[in-house]
Amino acid sequence: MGLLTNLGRALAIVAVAISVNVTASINPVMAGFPEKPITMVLGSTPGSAPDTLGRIVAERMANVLGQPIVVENKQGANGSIAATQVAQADPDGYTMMLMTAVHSITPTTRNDLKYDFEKDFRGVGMMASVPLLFVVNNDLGTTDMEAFVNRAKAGDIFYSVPGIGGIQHLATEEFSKRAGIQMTVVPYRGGGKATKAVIANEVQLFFAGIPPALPHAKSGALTALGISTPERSPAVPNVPTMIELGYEGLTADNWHALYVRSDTPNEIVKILGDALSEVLQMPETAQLFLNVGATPWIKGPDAQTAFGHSEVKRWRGVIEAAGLTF
Amino acid sequence: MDTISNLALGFQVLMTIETLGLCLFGVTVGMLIGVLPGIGSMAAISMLMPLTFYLEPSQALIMLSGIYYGAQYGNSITSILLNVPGTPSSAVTALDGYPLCKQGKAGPAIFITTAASFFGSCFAILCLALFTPVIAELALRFGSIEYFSLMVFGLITASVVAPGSQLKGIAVVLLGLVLGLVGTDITTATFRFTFGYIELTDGITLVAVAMGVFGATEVITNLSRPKHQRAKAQNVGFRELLPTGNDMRQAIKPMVRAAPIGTFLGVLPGAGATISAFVAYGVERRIARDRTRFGKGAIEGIAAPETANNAAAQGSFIPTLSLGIPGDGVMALMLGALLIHGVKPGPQLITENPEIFWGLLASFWVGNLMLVIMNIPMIGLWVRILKIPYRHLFPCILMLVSVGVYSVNNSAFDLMIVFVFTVLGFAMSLTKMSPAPMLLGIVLGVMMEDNLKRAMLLSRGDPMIFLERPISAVLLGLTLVVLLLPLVKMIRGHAKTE
Repeated sequence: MGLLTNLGRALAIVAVAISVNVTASINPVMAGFPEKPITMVLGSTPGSAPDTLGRIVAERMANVLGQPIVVENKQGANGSIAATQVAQADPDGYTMMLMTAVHSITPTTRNDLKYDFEKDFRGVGMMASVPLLFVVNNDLGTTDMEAFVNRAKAGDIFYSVPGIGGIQHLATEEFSKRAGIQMTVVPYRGGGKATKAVIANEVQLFFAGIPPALPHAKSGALTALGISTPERSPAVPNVPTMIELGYEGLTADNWHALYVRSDTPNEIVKILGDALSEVLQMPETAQLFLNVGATPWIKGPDAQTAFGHSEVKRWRGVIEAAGLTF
Repeated sequence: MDTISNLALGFQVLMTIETLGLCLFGVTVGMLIGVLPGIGSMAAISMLMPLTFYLEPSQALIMLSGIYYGAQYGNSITSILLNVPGTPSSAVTALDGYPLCKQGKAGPAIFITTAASFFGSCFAILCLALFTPVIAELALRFGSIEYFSLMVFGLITASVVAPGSQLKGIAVVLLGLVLGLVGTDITTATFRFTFGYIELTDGITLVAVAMGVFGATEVITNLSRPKHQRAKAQNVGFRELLPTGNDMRQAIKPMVRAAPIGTFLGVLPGAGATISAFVAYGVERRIARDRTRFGKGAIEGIAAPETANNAAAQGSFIPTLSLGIPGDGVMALMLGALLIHGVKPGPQLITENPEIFWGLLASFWVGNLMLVIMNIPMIGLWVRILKIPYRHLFPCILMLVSVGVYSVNNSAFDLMIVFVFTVLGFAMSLTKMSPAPMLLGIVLGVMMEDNLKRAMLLSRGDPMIFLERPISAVLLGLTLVVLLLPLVKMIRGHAKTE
């Protein structure tokens, strides 16, 4: 029975998504913004963590706003293709962009961007935090961070990254510098393959975005030694934070936030921001996020904009300190 | 007899009206999507994703995966009828499928590809049911070093896929490898050969290339011929729809050989359906007594790749479910669907959520059966496409190709890629070069380079590592055998004549 109602609900939602005009006519109270479907552009492939989180939020924000939100994947070039497109869209709030930490890294690593992250965009609000989980291969036999660092000092350690110049790469470099060790980076294309490499002992460490690594840390196929959150994560409550382990300031959560063009009117940004924060406060949102290893993170439009700027400075510092060149 | 009781559990999960309905819905959508050139299952699956929030996880997965393997059935139809492959993995099928169609054997060809698809799927499902943990373990043993050797083996085996001149075939593969270099260098994140186009930084979109060199090129080639030489509307009677007993006998052995090849390559994350179709075709051509039949309508040439790409599609569920490592984008999407429901794919999935794993497996059998039952009567309908005059048909082909290519990345730039590769494809058709090996070169080029660079990082620059690792050494040995085979044949031939 419950299933049939669920099916009914599901079909109803599809119907709403398809018949945009019908929806508009049965919601005559919704005067003003939004009057037509909103697009949420994101710079990664379907099935990636930003995509999954984005779709959870988009679907619920659509219910709050009374207009469908279409998620559009424009993957490629570390999300720069998507950002370029949004920077050129109309500043009317109908095109939002789901940005992640990488958008605060590329201003330093790329000199060929056709947009300016700090000048062309303003925050609608923070959405989610996806922590990095420090997972090592079991054959290494190191069950705590101290043992791992000692082992790394003694010999060659390879670590995988889902791409050069991503947050996982920079966070690992920052860690190596703090711990006073040298490790060799081995790049893969995507978090899944980077995770497989550490399970198969091709590399020994992956400072992984939590979604691909979590199931393996839970099953015991990998050993989790630390997590990048300021406080312990409910997803892995027994894993200590990097701060607890003595790496003060080494928080490297991959933030996920909604942005629009910087010249979007304040009232529209407020409507979107309020809808976002309403969705993030729903308990079922938190539960769905937790399933992926993420936690809802609320920040208003202005706080988000300021946070984005501070992140650009922070990663620039890390890149310069580690002496990385791109 | 665990497997049997597990399968019983699976069928128990499946045998409700709603679940069966969702399975049927999934495979039907998949089949229709598969027929449309260029449109992959990715677009359909990501659109239906929000619907799965309201379904049980096992039902969600049954529906989404139905789309995925359903699409593998339809994609050879346009290859055979119009020389326009639905996906890169069915480009190989066009090599012999289209000549068969020109000989008036389109019906039997589609029948055989359907049968081959079913056989390939069944074989892979059987492997899934019996050996998933073992196969998953094997997939883990395949590191960068083994991958590189496998790619070398694949490239050499499949380098004969082009009909006609061997030298031209090799030139086209090399061109493909070069085109594969466009994009981002994996070890330095430097952009190469992108000419300032940000859209090229993730490489050239394979579907756009395939649609250019096959789809649009075919249209232009056809229209550039004098009127009486163009593709003509054909009248097909019902009796001509079914293959003869002889046709079927010819198809069986290639199917048996291609199924394990497809399953195995499907299991390796990233290798997938396209490579397996090429390798299966290459194997058939290498062992055939009369190689010259290939490219002119050899039954083996359609049975082998279709068996292999379906087996690969089904086989790719093994790493996805048992390791939690997606082989391609569509698999990543399905993992996402599971994660949202709080189901953790990985080694413990089979023990902790047996109803999901075995329910899905049961749905594979039933879904494939549904596909065969739906497809066989449809053959008559598909073949009727040939009755449409070409002047009405070609605008439809071009429109579908454009929509399909656009849907891959939501990118108008990819349409420009189609245009560029149409020009190239037309030039190749004038010089009698087959573009099929180029696709293989593009797919393999990136993977070979990535894995070679990783292997060199891991071995600190020592190439002997490829011979020190047993799996890798065996693969390189097999490559040598494949290379020496023609030489041996030649020497034997000489000995006989003397």
